[in-house]
Amino acid sequence: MKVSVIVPTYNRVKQLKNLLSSFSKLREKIPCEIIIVDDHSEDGTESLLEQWVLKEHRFDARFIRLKNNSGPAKVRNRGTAIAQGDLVAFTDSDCYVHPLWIKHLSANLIKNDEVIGVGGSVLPQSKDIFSQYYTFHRILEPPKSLKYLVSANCIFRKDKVLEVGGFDEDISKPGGEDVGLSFKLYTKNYRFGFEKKAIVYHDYRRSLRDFKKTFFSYGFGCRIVTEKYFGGA
Amino acid sequence: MTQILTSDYSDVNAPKWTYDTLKPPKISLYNLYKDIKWHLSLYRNAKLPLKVRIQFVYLRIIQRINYNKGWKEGGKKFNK
Repeated sequence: MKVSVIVPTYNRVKQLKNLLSSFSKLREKIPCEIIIVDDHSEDGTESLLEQWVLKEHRFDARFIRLKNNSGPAKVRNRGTAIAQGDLVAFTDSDCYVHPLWIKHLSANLIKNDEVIGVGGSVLPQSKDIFSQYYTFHRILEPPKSLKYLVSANCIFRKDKVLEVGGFDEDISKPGGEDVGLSFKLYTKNYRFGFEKKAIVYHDYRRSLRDFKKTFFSYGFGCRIVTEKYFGGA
Repeated sequence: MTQILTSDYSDVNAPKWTYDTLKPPKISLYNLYKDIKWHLSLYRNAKLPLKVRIQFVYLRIIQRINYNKGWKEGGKKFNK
């Protein structure tokens, strides 16, 4: 089964370089393509990606640049729409991946007919207190109930994502759009798995201001998807 | 070197969360107290250093307040 990796990015050129470098070190299972969807960055991301597609030969390296800043949900949906793989894997541009990331993530999904999506582990790039907090509380990992996956590290059967219309585009900022997709799938009796060995390393923001903004966004987005799919929760 | 620890708890057991739908309990002194008490027990079981436990409690309060604020604002947007 072919795997497409889709990564939204917006004004994260330094972190994106690390991610692209980690893609070039993927081993044992190589995606058929990696699609970076640039949400109209203005920090040199476009020229970084122009050079990347010329240099990368192990897989089909593609990027598209949106004409307007549209938010991660729309960006991921654009990537999914043009993906050629049977499976679509997602991570974020402030992550970098373990060399066996795709191997473990896709293997779990392929061998397990009962699930249509799998989430993986998210470990921190740094050891500051914010990174420790997010990691200890598994903020970016699926809950044990596996009612949703987190787009920092997950893979789905592409046809199922398209079946439910992808990520919720009415959530224009990061937070809740991945939960919304998962809820749509879950309410159709599709189920998810978890693969601990599929690892990405996340660069958590290290300020109290960003910590507050992040959880505000999570609460905001999760309220919208909870209202939509569980009606007046 | 700081060891990166992860908890092994089930969020479903955290007090008063209808976790499956991510709906938080209301912010009140009593609810915060229950929440922090539950998390302190978690941190104790994980043998986190005292300094880290104190920092985590502080961040947990910040998390709860801001998540609840976002939850409220999300409801206003949805119901517009």
